[in-house]
Amino acid sequence: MTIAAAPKTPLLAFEDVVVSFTAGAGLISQLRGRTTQFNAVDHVSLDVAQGEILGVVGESGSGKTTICKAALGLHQMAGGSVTLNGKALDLSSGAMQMVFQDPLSSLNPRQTVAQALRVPLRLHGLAGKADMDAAIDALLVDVGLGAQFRNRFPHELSGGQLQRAAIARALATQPRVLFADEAVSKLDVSVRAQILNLLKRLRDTHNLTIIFVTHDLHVARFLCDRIAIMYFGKLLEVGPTRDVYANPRHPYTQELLGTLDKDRVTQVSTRDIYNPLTDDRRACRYLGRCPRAMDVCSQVHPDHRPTGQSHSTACYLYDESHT
Amino acid sequence: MTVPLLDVKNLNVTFQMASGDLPVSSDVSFTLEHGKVLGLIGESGSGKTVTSKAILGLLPSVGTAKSDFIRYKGRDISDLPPHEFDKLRGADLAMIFQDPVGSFNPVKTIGWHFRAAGRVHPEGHGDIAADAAEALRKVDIADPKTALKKFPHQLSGGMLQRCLIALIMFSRPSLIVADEPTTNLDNLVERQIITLFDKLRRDIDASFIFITHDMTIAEQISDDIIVMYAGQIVEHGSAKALMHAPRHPYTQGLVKTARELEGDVDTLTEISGEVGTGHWPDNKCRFAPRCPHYQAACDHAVPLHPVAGHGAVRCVMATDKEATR
Repeated sequence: MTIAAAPKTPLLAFEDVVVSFTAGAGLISQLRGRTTQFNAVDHVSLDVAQGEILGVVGESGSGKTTICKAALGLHQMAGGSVTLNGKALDLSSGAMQMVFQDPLSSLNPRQTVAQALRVPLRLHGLAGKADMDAAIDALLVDVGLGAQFRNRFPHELSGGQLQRAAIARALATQPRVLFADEAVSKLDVSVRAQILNLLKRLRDTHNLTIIFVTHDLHVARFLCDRIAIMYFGKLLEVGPTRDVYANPRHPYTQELLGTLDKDRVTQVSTRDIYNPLTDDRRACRYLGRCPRAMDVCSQVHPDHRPTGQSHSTACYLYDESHT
Repeated sequence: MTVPLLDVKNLNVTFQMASGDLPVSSDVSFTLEHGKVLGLIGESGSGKTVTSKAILGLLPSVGTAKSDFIRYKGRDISDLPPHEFDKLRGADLAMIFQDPVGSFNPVKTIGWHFRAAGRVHPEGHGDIAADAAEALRKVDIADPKTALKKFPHQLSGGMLQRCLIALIMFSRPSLIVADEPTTNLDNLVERQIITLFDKLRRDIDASFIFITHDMTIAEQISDDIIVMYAGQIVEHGSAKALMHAPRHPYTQGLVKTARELEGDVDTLTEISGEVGTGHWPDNKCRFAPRCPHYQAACDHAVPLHPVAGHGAVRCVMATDKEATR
């Protein structure tokens, strides 16, 4: 499996990661012997550099959230590894944190903002009794909330303020990597710009590495240095954002980014969309929808091929012999 | 003069809460012509959904709507008794919500929904099965016979939303309210649904109220756009005027962010603060606390002011400019 190399030495490395789910895990299906295993993340390798914002883009079911949760230990990996600075992950270190889509449900409704921040600070020994208040205030200022929000409960905060509080809590353990799963898609449009600017500023001031999961192609282009395109568990293309948007290599990326062209009438066919339970898992996942499918595509899903400066694509169109 | 399809005058919606009456939308007036699409833009809590539900007689029991009139094809439907409304809804007025799963009965097949619609509104249907298959084919469902036998959970979100659109095509309503119909869908499916709406509009000559928070989509699909903020209309005009020369500072902020996201910038222009919820003042501009152009005049009630060649704007700056011209 070729590794899609990041421009700098990787901070976070996904190597051949597999996350497997069981369909029909219910009792009746099990009694009837109708369970099927499928890989929600299927042999994905990906490097992320320190201080980089990597956008993971894909439709629902592409495995973009699952791969993040696997890195955080929220899903068991069936194969492969995730390493931070070349070492196996210590999940209790707080070096990786996650911000979720819905900030209201990710904060405890009975805890004030200060209480939510105090727990990680204390557990990780980052602040003692004497400097706790100062540490909490510093976090609140960092995310643009300010000390006056210390004693507010989640229900007293607006959507944008809640997401800022959730980000502050994630930052409390001084993480190296922040996973943001659709972190702005539930926010009001006029607030979205505030949070996007905040994430960018945090990267700059903290040299924070951010993995930003989204299905919004405009947001991804604004925020991310590199883009990884996922489709039914497979990483199809990864490369620098400008390069990918200007010159998408994979036919799926081309179709996806084609939707940004307002004047183009998109005739999308969902007829032959890949079905992970019934379709041939050796073939290319995009085979049924691909306008440029070849014989070889139905035999085995392609490995990644280099398709530019720190850019790689899993597609036979870019075979060494063709390029 | 022809009668507009929908004519709404001074619609006010109030929610009766334990803490007292809460006005959620105030003084909403607009007209919608036959075959046109009206984009309704605003953030959560701006009153856009509540306004459309009030028009369709679908307010929750805590909500009360008061208006001068809501005329549908010239007939005032603002005080229509429920059984009269039932005859209109489905046949004349249709709705598409954000979550297509919730629009279907989960224990019934797709075909059952078509048969039910045909039973309640039998007018104009010869062979229900054939008409249903035809409608499904129009939304690019390749094998309608199989689709009709499926249960909602057996179809993907995009497929289900297309089935819902087919169901609406089948009933041939004159007015369709679509409330964030593509928000939960992926880009490719979203694009497909927008294309289908355009087709639907031409095929059955329907008018749309299209509710969204996405400026780009509103621009693509709408003839006219209404922007709501904190329960009020703040700007109303043609999609072209509004997107190219927005007059209200809130609209200007939304359009600017949308354009920046389409382009290539390092930092997005922010509208500071948030709308908040609860009791908005009646005697001053509700956007003033967030407005970059705040001035003393904003502390007085600001009416929705007609602006020649544009539409209407609720801002002291727009009125000043007009007055000095």
